[in-house]
Amino acid sequence: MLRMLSIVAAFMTLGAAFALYSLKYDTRRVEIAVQGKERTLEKLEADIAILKAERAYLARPDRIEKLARKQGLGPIREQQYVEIGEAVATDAPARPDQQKRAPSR
Amino acid sequence: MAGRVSAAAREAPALRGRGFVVAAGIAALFLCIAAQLVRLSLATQGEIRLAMAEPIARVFSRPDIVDRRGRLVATDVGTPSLYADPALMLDRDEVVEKLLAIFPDLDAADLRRTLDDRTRRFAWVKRGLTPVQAQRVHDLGLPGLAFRREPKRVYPAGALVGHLVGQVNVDNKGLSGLERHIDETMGMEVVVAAAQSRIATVHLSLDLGVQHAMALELREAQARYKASGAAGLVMDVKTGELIAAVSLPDVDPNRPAEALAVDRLDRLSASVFELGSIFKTLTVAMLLEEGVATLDKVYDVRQPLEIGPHTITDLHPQGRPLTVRDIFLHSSNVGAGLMALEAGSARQIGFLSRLGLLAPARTEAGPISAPLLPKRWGEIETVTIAYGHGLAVAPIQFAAAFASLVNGGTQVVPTFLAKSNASPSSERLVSSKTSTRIRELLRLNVTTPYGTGRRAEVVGYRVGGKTGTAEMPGKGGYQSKAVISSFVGALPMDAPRYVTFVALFEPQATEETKGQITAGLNAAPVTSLLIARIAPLLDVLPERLEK
Repeated sequence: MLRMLSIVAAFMTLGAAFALYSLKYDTRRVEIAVQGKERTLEKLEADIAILKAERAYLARPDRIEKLARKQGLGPIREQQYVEIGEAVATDAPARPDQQKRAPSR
Repeated sequence: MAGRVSAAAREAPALRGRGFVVAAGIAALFLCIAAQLVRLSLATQGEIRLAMAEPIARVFSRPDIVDRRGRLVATDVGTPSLYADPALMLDRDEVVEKLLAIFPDLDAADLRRTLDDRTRRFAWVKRGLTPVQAQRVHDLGLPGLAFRREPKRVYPAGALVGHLVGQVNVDNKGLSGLERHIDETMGMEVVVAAAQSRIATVHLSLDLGVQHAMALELREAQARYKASGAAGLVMDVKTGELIAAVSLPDVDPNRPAEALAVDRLDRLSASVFELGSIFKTLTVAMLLEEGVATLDKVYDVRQPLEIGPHTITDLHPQGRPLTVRDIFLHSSNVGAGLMALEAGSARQIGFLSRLGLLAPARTEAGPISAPLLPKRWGEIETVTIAYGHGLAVAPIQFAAAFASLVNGGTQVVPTFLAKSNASPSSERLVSSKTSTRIRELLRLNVTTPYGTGRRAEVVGYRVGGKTGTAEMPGKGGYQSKAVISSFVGALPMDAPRYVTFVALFEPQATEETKGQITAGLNAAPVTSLLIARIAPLLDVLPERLEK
């Protein structure tokens, strides 16, 4: 009886040792994978930082202004503000009384 | 037999006791060894790691800076830095020669001395390389040269924010301006390689769009009037947030060496000026606040004002007594002097110091240049300060005082950081009645046909303000041809939301200004152009659309 128990215990010890061994190697593999991911993450973060800086550099107001002016755009003028009702009305064919109201400045 | 047994029985406890002592001793010894092992493994580990990291690199990761609408102003990007491991080098002369071909600005003697020290395992050669330079060094294939990625500060907004952000050193540590403020208030994060900062993003009060519009208008004005410099700001009238703050010539934070030139100093906060007639706003406010006079009180300004050896005259004498209102609208120096004399210097000092104009102040971008007070504050000083001479203050400090006069009378502290939900200061500097009167007067100065500020009018936005043409002090007194012409204003004037300030330094007479250099003919129209442009950016609706 006691010997039986000893044999089972011995096998269990061996099994546990193997399990531990493979677990250790699994852990190492995962560790390497994590390190790889961390490196990728760092690289992506660095790339994002550079892209963000480049995007901000391309969106500089003075550059945008030059591009916008080439498209015939300009700063908003006071006369360009209209009531919502007025804006709808100007979509319809212009009537003489509305033409008179059109800004001339 | 019985005797032997009894003898053994007698010795047994003594033996057991001895055995116990030996066992305890050995156990204690092992415990000590175990404890020492634990102590060594726990305590020394950190020190060793730090000691290894220290000499290699100690750089700081900085948080991003964005404007009030989230546009990027400053950020860190990882750049390669070149270091040498002298112990691994084969031929130092070859290394020095080849590196000099790529970096002509390297100090050859210094580099050779560094590389000669074979005991060193780490020495910086050059930091913050461009990708192209890094590739060229890499292509040399020399042993003992390697790279580390380090954070480098870049400013995509460039010169637009040069005066405010300040500088960082090669380790990415803030030296001046907002960068230094960030280090002092938010702490510094030490990193050994380029990494994203975990410190929260810094939100500026500036709006890059408005800042750009201001810079553009000032640049055009500078060219139009051939001015040596220009400065301008837009400030939230309640919170003191600076929406725009521009000083020309500007500096590019990506080229730190530029910032040291004297003519590139920030004219808004790093210099003090006698600002001239815009100070009359303060004089009139003092009169009303102290109950010395009402706007309708009449002063006799027909004769020049004589105090001791000094004579104060008006640029355009009206030849008749003027009310306080007209003194302001005609910008009469004699009138301002008479009003200040009636109030007295004690009241004047008290009022100006209550507005914070006599004490040094600071913003997040650094200390504001301290006001330059007169050595003695007698009658003549009281008179000249009434129209803005004899007391030099930084424009930013004046703008804050002006804002508190027109916002209903509460204190304004200028700030460069966005205050999303901070409640405005409730400390009252002047009564709301005085504030209302001053607002009416400033608006009148733009709407009246003879008001000095009439050229600042922008249809639909109810601009109000005051002009100032201050002669600059030079060798042997004031120079009549070298002036600072300025316009301080607010919009919409009946319930102001923003204060604007525009100053041109040494503008020249042109055809457009009819040969004049007064602020009404240059700074006022510049303000008009500026406001027409920035009002839509500031969400100020034209008058006819207001409910």
